[in-house]
Amino acid sequence: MTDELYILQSSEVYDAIVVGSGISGGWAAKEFCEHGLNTLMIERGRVVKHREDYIGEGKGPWEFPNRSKVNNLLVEQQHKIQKHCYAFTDATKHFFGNDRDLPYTTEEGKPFHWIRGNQLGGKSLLWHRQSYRLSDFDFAANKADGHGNDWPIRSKDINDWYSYVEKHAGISGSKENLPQLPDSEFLPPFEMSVPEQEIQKRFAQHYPDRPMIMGRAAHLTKPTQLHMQQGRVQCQARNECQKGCSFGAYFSTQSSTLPAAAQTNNLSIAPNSVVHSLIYDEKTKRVKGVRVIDNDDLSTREYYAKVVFLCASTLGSTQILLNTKTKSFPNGLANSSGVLGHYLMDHNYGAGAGGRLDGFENEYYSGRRPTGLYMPNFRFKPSRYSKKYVRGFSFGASAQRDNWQGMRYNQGVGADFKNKLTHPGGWSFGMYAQGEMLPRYENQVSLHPTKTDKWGMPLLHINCEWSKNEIDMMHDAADLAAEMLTKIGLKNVSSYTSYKDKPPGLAIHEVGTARMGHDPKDSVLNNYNQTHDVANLFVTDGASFCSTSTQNPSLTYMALTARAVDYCVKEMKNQRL
Amino acid sequence: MTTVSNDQTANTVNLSEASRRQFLQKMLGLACVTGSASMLSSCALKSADNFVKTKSEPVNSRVLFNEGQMATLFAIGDAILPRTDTPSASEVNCHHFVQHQLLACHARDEQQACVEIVAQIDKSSVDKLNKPFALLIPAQQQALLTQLEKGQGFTDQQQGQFSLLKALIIFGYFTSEAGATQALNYQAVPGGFKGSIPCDENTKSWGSIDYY
Repeated sequence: MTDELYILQSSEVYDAIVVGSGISGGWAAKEFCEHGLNTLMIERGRVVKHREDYIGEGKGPWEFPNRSKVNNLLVEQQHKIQKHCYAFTDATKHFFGNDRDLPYTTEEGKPFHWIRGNQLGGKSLLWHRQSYRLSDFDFAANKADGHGNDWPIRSKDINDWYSYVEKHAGISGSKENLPQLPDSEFLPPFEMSVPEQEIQKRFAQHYPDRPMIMGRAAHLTKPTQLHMQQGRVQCQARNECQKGCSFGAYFSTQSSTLPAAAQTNNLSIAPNSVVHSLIYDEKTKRVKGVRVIDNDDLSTREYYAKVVFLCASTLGSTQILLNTKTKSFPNGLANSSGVLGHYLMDHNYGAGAGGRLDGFENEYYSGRRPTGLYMPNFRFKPSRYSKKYVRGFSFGASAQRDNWQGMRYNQGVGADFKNKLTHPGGWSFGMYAQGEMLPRYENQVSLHPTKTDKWGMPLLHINCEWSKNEIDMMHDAADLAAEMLTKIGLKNVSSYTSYKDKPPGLAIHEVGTARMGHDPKDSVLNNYNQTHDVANLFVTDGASFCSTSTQNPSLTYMALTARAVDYCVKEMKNQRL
Repeated sequence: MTTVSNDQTANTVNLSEASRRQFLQKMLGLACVTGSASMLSSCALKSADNFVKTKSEPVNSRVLFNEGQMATLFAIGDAILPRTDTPSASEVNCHHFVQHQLLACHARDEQQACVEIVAQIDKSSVDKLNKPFALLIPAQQQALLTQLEKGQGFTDQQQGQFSLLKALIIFGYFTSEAGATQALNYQAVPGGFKGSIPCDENTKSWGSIDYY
């Protein structure tokens, strides 16, 4: 790729504008470009070049003055929110947003941790790469129990698109034929350690409906020709993904969709371009383009296109719609339903359990596996719900041998103690819940009436909290995890809930706020992620979700986006758009 | 791949020959006064030399530990992680790392806790054994720290303070280059994940881990 990709000013009317360059934006740009459409990708942040801008990659902890921790003063001044993310370190901090420049407000007593990745590639550089399809139980959940609106799609509408994106992105995993977790097009799964295999066996024996499988992740365990054409090679099991990966071994915009899009010569990128609002034509009832404020010098400019895809992140896309106030849409563009900004959701990671596993002293593992084990949701339909709450949760899990990080808190000094610290200790096994959050009208974002950021954008005001359903679910998850671990023979089992310390947002699975739906009166988008109100405007990121399911959402962003572009291109070719 | 730059060098200053001599004299002076030269084996001298040469630049040039406390901290580190077939804590400069890290990344109450426990350890040593902690023989140092860990003659709060300090020393040790690559087995690029490899009592732990 060359610098000719990048533009600043242009009066050209592009075929398509894609706002955002993360997982959804990368896919939208790739698909438009490959369909032969002249495409402009707009990114609010700086350019991050594959390989050369991965400045923290491959460094040992001793190469950082604070051994990978981030300086107090910097955290205090610029990363007060971002510091809560597990992946925020001295080696990755440049891929996280600067909280000083990116303020938002929250309702009193209702914290929300909004994790940002405002650069080319967005959060595709930072994601945890877990990739799971939604099942028909997920798409039908709202309808089945009456919470939220019905997803306007089912598996039959999206399965081919899952397959399509999976082959390109590269998803490792094992075929399991589970009703609640459809299989993907898989590369080989990562290996389990021997104790993990044993635990898997014990779960199968005691809990046949709760299989423990290998986590499915967007890593090239065995690259195909297609992946090698993208310039990607096999995963080296460093598990330092958020520093950027020069092997291109995990899916990111930089490693996968951007090279494909650029190869077509149909792609232009406008970096450092903060989209302020959409340009709406009251006469044609269509959008004509976007108004942009320069990220650096705050000057303004406009870009034009026949269609606009918002892929600016769940809250980013909604903020742009809310900030586009027109005569016919005084409360935000495409908001005739009034639900824009509502039904914000995230996953709840606030419970888990762990225990000790005797034996296996002669077993060890090599490499840092970038995924763990996974127990799919076993409360996946109303007949399997708990009596205390609706919906369910999955578990992430893994077994590991103790190392100095934990053993340093044990008593001991001197040569023998040092010797212990330098050898693998006993085995432990932990499980961490990932609970579904209900779509609730009250959990919502709006524009702050007076406060603006440095680009003059009204701040988002976030009003979101766990409801009783999520809290009851986490207590149940903690109890169940402890019960199961005890049953399968672990020792010293203990469980915890931590939802009080983990407000919504921190799972970085924020979805909803511009949901899809059959009915224009209670949804923003139709079954192809097209706004009901404005024919040439689409939103294909997490904002479009009707429910969270228990699965990690990114694979569905990819599939929905590719599907929406396909629909859009057909509509354009048939002169309906 | 990105070029590896040594950020650590930015964090070291070369003290003048005069300051270096001053430090050694101070250490020697202490030893002569008390008549115990045992701590100043050639190894300790080498460490002391290293101590001066690689002295960290504290954040905002603030210091937490005065020179006496730094000598105690130096000795605490080596009592916890002595030289074996791999370097000791002081040989990888843990004492200065602890000061740097407390100032750079820890809250004020944690900084204070570490200063207090270092002073307390030295005071206990003088009270019980009539010698500064740094001048006890290693067995005495380790015995005193063991009493502290077990709460014998120390308060719960002091136990907690020591746990924090000890954890930070150990963190500093195993994230140093020698700690991560000599004391442990460091794999920068594992080449893939293997779920099962042979392991016996001589197998070292991985020094390369996911998140430090």
